[in-house]
Amino acid sequence: MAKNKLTYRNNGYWFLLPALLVVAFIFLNPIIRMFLFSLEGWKYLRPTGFNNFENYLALLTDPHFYGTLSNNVIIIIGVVPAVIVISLTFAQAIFGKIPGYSLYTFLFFIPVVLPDIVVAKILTEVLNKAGPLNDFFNWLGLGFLDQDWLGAPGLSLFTIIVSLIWKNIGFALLLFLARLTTVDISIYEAAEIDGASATQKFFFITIPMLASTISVYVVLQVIGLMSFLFSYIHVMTAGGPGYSSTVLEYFIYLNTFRLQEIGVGSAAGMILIVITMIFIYNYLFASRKKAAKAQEIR
Amino acid sequence: MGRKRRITWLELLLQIPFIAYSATILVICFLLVFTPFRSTADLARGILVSPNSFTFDNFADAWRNGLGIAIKNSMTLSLLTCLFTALLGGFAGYAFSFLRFRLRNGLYIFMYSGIYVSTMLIALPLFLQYRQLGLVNSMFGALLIFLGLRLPFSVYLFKNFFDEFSIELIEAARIDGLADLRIFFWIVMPLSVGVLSTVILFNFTAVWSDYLIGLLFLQKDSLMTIMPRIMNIFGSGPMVTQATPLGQGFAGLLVSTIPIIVIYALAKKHYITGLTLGSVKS
Repeated sequence: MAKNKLTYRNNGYWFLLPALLVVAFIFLNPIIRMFLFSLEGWKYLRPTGFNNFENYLALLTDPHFYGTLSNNVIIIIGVVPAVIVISLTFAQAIFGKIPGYSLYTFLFFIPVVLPDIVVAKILTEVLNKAGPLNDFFNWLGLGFLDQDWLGAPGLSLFTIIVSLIWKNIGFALLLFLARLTTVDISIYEAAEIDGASATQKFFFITIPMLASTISVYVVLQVIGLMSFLFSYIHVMTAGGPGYSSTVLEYFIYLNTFRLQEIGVGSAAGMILIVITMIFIYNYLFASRKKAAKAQEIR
Repeated sequence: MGRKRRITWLELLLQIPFIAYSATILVICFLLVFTPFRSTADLARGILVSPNSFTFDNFADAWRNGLGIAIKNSMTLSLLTCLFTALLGGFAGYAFSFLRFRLRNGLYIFMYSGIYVSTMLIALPLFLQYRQLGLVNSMFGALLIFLGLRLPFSVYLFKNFFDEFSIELIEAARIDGLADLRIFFWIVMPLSVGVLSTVILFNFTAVWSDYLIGLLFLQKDSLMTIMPRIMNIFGSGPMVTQATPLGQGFAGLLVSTIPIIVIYALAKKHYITGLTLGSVKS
């Protein structure tokens, strides 16, 4: 309520203006341009005028486009629940001070902070057909696992998913641990007195306590997987073989910068922006509603 | 807590996934740290074997291939981005938290949305526009993009931090006749070292780790940034064969990781603040 005390001041614009101008130039301006691009025909990087939504029609009749969208969905379904389950288990155990927990928190943080390019490049070398992972499987006598993990059409997407789970565990773990440290310990102690087992504490205290954090994680991760995967995919598979590991973001890159199909690429871009916006506003309004409810309770 | 802890079966069982995951991370660290110091002949035996050579040649070669210049360029861009996002982002956060003006909410939502918009969406239209304006292959042009990309999250962090301030402090300063600019520099900023560290940490790492913007907007040899340069040394494509200069590329990877590790070692606390500010509040 403190906010209402603020006096109306026009100089707010002066404080805001520099940042606003830069952000408008870097975000709003290109997105408006992209919308216009998506309505035009293109030849040699030059627009040839309005073309009756042909770019959108081309997109909707392009089988690669649907494959790309379904890859997006598969990645999200493959990564998000797995990371939640693994990170929750880890978080609960670390919160319970499992032996070695401080070393583990330190180690698990490493994949999160390493630049995407570094992780993707090292993993590419590890997963190489002639790389150490296949050597390891052969040494174990598991020759049937000696596969071209990034180069086989049926495998590349799976490999990307597993490597993304591997990279993102630490991020979710950090969020969950940060929330757990704010939970009142006495709840756990009370449950212990009542004879609750470790599993019961996990399912009936930890998970409900973390529900809102989990939903924050889901939103952040889904947006991350849809919109910020370029360098990862570019280094590991370049969307291939064929289109087998291409996601919408990479599809836009391929169309605009590689195939010079600017119109089609821009139309795909408009679809990504619409999906992103729907996500943000749902998230924004959900958290607003929650904040309002919290105020009422107080 | 003098009570002796009993280790349960469940805890022992849980050690298995903990150890397995740690092992994979250690393998990656081993490759990152040791590969750059191995000779090409040694690397031909495979990357995950005990090294039997020790050389600095890979670093020297990588330097000859432009790694040094790339580090200088990336460092310049990262530091300038930190400086300007701290200043402009701080101003904007101040406006959103302490000043009232028309469209405040709408403008905040606009600013906030920028956090989630894929860089890929702005890449092509900006690239074509930059070509017309002659801003491709210009440090200023790239800096402007990085500022735009990093400002939304910076403003978000500043605003969330400032919202926790007692408004009485600001009002008191106003009654004393202080102008907003003075309040910002004399009162708000000195109390904001924590959030400033968070903003700097995130923005430095983001610009330093950038690949796409550098790849498209700084193509000239003398302007290339570190990640595109490393990929360039590797031979830039995916699916690199053993014949490529693996050691050199890994020298680049290791060098590029050092500032990141140093920063996080110094400021892990601020990283967690950044992740949780506003999102994990109970």
